[in-house]
Amino acid sequence: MKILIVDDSRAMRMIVRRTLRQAGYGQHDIEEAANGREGYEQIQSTKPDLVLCDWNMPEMTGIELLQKLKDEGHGVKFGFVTSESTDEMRARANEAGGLILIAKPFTPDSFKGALAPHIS
Amino acid sequence: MASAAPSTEGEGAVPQLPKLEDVQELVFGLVGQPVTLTRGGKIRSNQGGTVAVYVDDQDRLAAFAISDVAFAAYCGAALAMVPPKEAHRVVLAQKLDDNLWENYQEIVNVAASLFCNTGPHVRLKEMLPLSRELPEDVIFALRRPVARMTMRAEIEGFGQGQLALAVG
Repeated sequence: MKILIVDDSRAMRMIVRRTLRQAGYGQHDIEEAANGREGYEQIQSTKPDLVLCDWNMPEMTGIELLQKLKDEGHGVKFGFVTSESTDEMRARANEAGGLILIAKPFTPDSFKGALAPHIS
Repeated sequence: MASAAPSTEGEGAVPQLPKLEDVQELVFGLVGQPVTLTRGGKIRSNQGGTVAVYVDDQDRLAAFAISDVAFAAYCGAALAMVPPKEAHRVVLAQKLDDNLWENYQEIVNVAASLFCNTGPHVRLKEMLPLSRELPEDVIFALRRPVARMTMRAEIEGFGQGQLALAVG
């Protein structure tokens, strides 16, 4: 399975990658992108099975990326890993087809709980 | 007449200091190395240290996280699996390099959640070098009698540093 981490913070990409490994998903192919625009291009070219995406990013935000994918009928599984997790954000994410919203700080257990239904 | 408990919600509410164990758990989760925090100590040298400035939803100064160079460097290095000897070199030089600065900044960014558990929402506005001349409003806020907690930190495999949190 191919997982794409989209976050403008290099440090957070490292943390997410490590947490995936600690949660038992280290055997998957993990890729990274530094903003929504780059993430979009990578989704087109490398076709990940799951996208874990920050919400606030330059170039293109996470929700803009998800909306664009939805508008184009792209079926990639999509989740957010974000500092904020308001009810409004959850509603917007759900409406756009987001499957997961993991709030920072997170633990390997919270990652596992959120991702298990979506990772084979 | 009994005094009212401080408000923790809405206009005028102030954030609360987190529990020590919550700080420890958050730092451990982010840096990926066991971290032991104990109350006490003092930030002896400003050189190379940082102050993270948090604001509430009205952009008012709400909380601060002040670290010495060792805490910032060791956390930043542990997060990215930078070898301890590289982190020690940075501590001796008393200046974070760009990578460790960015790594540590992500930690203080996520640490905003520590202040939101019982109080109003706060977010990281910026992280500043402690050695540089700080903005006047930050200096003023830090000199006010605000609630503070100072901690000694042992980052396993790296060394000791100091962290202080302040609200008000």
